[in-house]
Formats: sequence, structure tokens, C-alpha cells
Amino acid sequence: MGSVSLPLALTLLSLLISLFTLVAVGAVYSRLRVLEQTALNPAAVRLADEQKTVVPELRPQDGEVASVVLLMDSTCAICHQAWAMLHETSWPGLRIIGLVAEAHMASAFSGGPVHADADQWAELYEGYAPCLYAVAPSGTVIARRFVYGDTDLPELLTTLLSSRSSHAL
Amino acid sequence: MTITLSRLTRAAADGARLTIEVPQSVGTLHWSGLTKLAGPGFARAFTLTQRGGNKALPTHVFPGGRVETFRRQGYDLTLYEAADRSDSCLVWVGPYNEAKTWFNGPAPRRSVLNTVLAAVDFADGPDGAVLRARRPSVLHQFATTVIGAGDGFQVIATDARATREALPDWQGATRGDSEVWRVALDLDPDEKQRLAGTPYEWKYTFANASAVYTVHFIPEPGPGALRAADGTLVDDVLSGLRVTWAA
Repeated sequence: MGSVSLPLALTLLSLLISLFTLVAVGAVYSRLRVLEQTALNPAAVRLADEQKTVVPELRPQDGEVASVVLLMDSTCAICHQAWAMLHETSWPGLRIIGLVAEAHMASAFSGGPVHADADQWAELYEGYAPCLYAVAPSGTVIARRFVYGDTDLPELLTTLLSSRSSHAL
Repeated sequence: MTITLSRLTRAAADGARLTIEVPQSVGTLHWSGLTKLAGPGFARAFTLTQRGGNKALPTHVFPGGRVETFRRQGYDLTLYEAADRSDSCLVWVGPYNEAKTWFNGPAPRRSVLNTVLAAVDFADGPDGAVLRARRPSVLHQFATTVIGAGDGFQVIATDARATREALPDWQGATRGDSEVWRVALDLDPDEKQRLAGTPYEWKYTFANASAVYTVHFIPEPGPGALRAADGTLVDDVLSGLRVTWAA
């Protein structure tokens, strides 16, 4: 009475196991898909800002809200023009500093401090000069702009100061 | 008459190098391009322009819409979405060139956008941006076109190997190492009458060993505005322009 035959019990048991296997395979597959797009692929471009930090020499000093680093190449004409334009107005609360790769290039730029650091230059360089970086006191790059001959630098700095976030720019 | 030629190189979106010889009299050309990528679960078209080519997007195409910018190594990623979410696009903004793809609907979820970003490789340079599949064995790249726009004319260049079937059936004229066809443009009757007997009613297709390129001349709009100087422009371009495509 009420007893289940052995073959039927085995069939039910194997059905249960196969169902479980199916669910497990599905779960593993979905986890693998997520991993493929994230951890397994560190080179994947993601929809987020790339975090960069700069050496202490380029960070803002006491009382300054941010530093503005102009990455330059001594041979480019726009670099000289941009460097001169940055120094036409004074920017209270901002530290304006130039960055070049070699020490002998720094002498080509007058009017303000220029830091020479080949490693830092190579780390920040993105295939174009001049390039302007806004750096927070922690040393994190909060904004990056390519500077062209027709870029209105004072306006760009004003926007940067008023927002101080990379997204609003 | 001798024509002074200037030679310039340009990169196509698939990484091919174009060498373009163009008469100096036509001035500078503005470059743009197209390319398509397709594979399992992925089909996307990309348009490339020079810097500033997408500046009308936030003000005129999607006024009041959503703009999100992400800073990546060597370029910015900008996502535009219409205020009513009816359309959206993603733009790779490099220092020299920009590439754009449309979604024809609301901006996709983050995971979908990440899939798009992970599938392509964008590398910008002064000669043109290269946008390729990160894994070429999975995604097929095709329909890569380079478009140069000058003052009063346009040239559309493609790889000869990919465009063989699109050439006219009849034999063209031989000019140097290339074959040239003159094909009537599909104009409306009024325009056809206005442009009858001028080079504006034709497009000129050139095919050489490596490239197929089509030239057509753009008339000024409005009646009676066909410029007198265009005769020399047409002669200069048709006799001097030469494109080679090195994959």
C-alpha cells in the first residue's frame, strides 16, 4: 500500500537530478557571461571615467581648490599660444603649471612654473598636445580637455571652476 | 596646362591607408567616413567625421536632451539622448576625429553599451581615426568608405576588392592605369533641365588596381548660379585626382 516501485523511484530521481543540472548550467552560464564582460576582460572599455592620479609636484597646494596642468611639447606652436593665454589672466585659487617631458624643454616656456617629468608626461599623454588637465587636491584628474588653436581657455577655466566635475564639461 | 598636385595620406576606418593626389587648386578637403561591423548578436554602422563634426547634436538634433561624457584614454565617450527618448547615439571623440553610432531608440542599458564598447577599438590620429573590431574573428568589417568634400565637389573612395560588383556593366574609358565611367545622376526633371550639358549631371567613377572612387560636382543652389570658374575645377579634379588604397 502506497509503496512506489523501484524503477519508478529511480526515474523520478533521475528526472530531478537532470532538472537540477539544467538549472545549475543556466546559472553558471549567466555568471560566466557577466565575468566575461567584467573581470575576465580587464581591457574592456567601460562606460566610466578612467581614473588617473598625478605626482605630488602637480597637485594643488594649501588653499588652492585645483591645479590646472597643461601638458606641452616644446615644438608645437599651439602649446606656446595656450601657455601664454593661460597667463594673461590671474586665477586665484588655481595653480597653473606646465608639464613637459624633458628638462631642457621647460626653458622654452616662461611666465610660470613648468615641471619636467618624462614618466608622468608619458602617463598623461594621450596622443595630442597641448592637453589640459584639472587636478583635485587628492591628485585625481577630474577633467581633461584637448586644447586647439581656437579654444577659449579663460572660458574653459571658468566653466571648470564653476562645475569642478568632469561630467558637466 | 600643368597641374600642381599635392599628395596626402588618410586612414580608412578599417586601418587601410589611402594615398590621395589632389590638384592644389581645389584647396583643402574635409574628410568623413563610414564603416559597418556585424557578427553574432551585433550589427552596427559607424560614421566618422573630423573634429567638431558632431557639434550640432546637443543644440540642434537633441535640444534639451541628455548628454553624458566619459573620459577614456585618448578619447571621450559621449552619449546623447533626445529629451523624449526617441533617439540616441554614442560618439567617440578623439583629439582629431570623431566616430558615431545611432541606436534609433532610447539609449540602451549599461550592459549593452559596454558590449558595444568592448567590441570595437577606437584609435585616433591626425590622418584619420581607425575603428576596428577588437576580435576580428568574430566581427566582420565591411562597407568602409572614405569621403572627401572639397569646395564644389565630393569624392567617395572604397576598396576595389569590395566594390567590384558595384561597377557599371559596360566598359569604361581607359585613362592611365584606371578605367573611367560617366554615369547620369538620378535628378528631378527641373534640375536635369537646368544642369543639361554641364558636368553636374554626371558622376564619374574611377577604378584602378586598388581603389574605386566616384567624383561628383555640386552646383550652387538656385537658378543661373553655375559658376564660370567651374570649368577649370572640373578639368583639374578629373585629370589630377588619384586615390590608391593600401589595406
